[in-house]
Amino acid sequence: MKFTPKEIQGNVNISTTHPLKEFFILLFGILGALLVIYLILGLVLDILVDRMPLGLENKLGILFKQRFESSKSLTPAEKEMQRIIDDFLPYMPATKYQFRVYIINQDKVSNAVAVPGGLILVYSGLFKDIQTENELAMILAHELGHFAHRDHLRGLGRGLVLAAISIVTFGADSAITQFLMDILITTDLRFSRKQEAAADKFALELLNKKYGHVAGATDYFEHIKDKKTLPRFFKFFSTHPLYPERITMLNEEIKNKCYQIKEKIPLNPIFKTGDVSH
Amino acid sequence: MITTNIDSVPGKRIAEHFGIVQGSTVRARHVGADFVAGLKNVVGGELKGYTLLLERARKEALERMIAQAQQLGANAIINVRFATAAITQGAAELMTYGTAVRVE
Amino acid sequence: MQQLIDLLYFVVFVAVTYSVGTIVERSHYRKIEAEEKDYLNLPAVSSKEIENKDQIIAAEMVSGSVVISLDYFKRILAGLRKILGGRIKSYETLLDRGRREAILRMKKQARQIGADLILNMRFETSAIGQVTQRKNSIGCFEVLAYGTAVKLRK
Repeated sequence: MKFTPKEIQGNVNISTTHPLKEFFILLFGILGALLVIYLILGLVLDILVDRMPLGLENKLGILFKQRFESSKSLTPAEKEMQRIIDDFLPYMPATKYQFRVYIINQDKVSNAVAVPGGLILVYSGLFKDIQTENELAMILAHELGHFAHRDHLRGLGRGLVLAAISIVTFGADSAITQFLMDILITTDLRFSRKQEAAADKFALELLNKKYGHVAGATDYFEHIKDKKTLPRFFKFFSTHPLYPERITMLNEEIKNKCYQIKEKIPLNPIFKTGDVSH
Repeated sequence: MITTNIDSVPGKRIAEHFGIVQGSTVRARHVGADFVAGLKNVVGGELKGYTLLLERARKEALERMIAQAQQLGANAIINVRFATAAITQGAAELMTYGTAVRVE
Repeated sequence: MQQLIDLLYFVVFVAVTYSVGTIVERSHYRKIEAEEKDYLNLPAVSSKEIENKDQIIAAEMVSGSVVISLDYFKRILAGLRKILGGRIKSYETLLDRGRREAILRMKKQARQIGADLILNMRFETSAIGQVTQRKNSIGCFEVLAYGTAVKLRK
């Protein structure tokens, strides 16, 4: 055979699409699809959640319960908080929840968290920042509001399904799944701003019903807002309505509903003993 | 473009050759096909979706090789061979190569 | 805000690997094209025989191989593409480079023995570095080109 050397021009085996362009098209295409699924799930879950039996939510809460129910008896501080909660119960819509309180020994943290199943976790650092029973009642009533609105399920349900999709698509140990779960845990398990505002309004109403007035409703937030400040950039990603906005919203609600302000009840001294948790 | 798997094109004479030409393509399955295949794994049998996928990929590789040969001025490719390699999980490279010749 | 910082690292990392990867690829292609011109008169064919067997005075098997690894950007593109299916364009250049480099190395070896033609050239591509810890790990792959180099009587 005679050989004719000829140079091959061009390259049939590669594509001319610019890799960056392909990257963005793929990325936004997939993210777009996920967003659509997320939104649809949100709608579907909103419809379903009201019909979800309490038993199922309690099963979710068992994980948390096992960690915190090491002892069956309550400390005096916990008993006092339980009393405040029990006093609220007649003013709340009927619920099958059995509310319990558990104090976590963390003096540096000032927070209270509502956990699926009816458990309210309170960090011991909280007691340094409050002076009156009304403030404490407001905080507890706010957590009760989350339970009354079944806020956990709306967030958890959607997050769980998306996490499941991600695990099936990318694998459980893929970096994308880890990243997604981090985001879902921080955004979805915390309540959205709307849910927080609704819980605040619920708490005001409850406070008014039990005490006849709402003095002290904003005291804790006023005190706290000076302690915690976030750079403006991060405010966007925080799901808690920032304290100044929260205070403004609460004051507006007080004005709109014509709640009264009367004398506050001082805090039970056992909260200040420094020996509040197990 | 004539392609054969043997050393010659039957009935024609090879005038000149231009060396190797190759065509290749890398294809991936999509999650839907994966899901269906996963279900099919339970029952067994032919995974028609994958068969079609690889068929298309092979055809594309062949077309690329033919394009390269045409560019050289060849009108036949002899001794065509295929090779498949799994590059990563869920994606395979299909390569085909042969000698580009001009027959008359 | 841990996620934001993670995201930032990721973006910077991707940008760096993309740029470096592109530079490496372009320089490799330039080198390949230059060398291919050089070896243009040493053809390789997939046929097993030539017409005139007596013309062959020497024959020896030659091979060339290369192991090519992916950069992070290509890995990400491939990962995204595997969800939607279709052609993984980011790998095509890698495999192309690998093949052409392997052929060049084989031809280099052939030239050392003074060959004029390489017969029955075959390719083997295999993925190595498929680590078993992570299911979706995309390691690197080896391209092997081998054939019989023959010296022809002039």
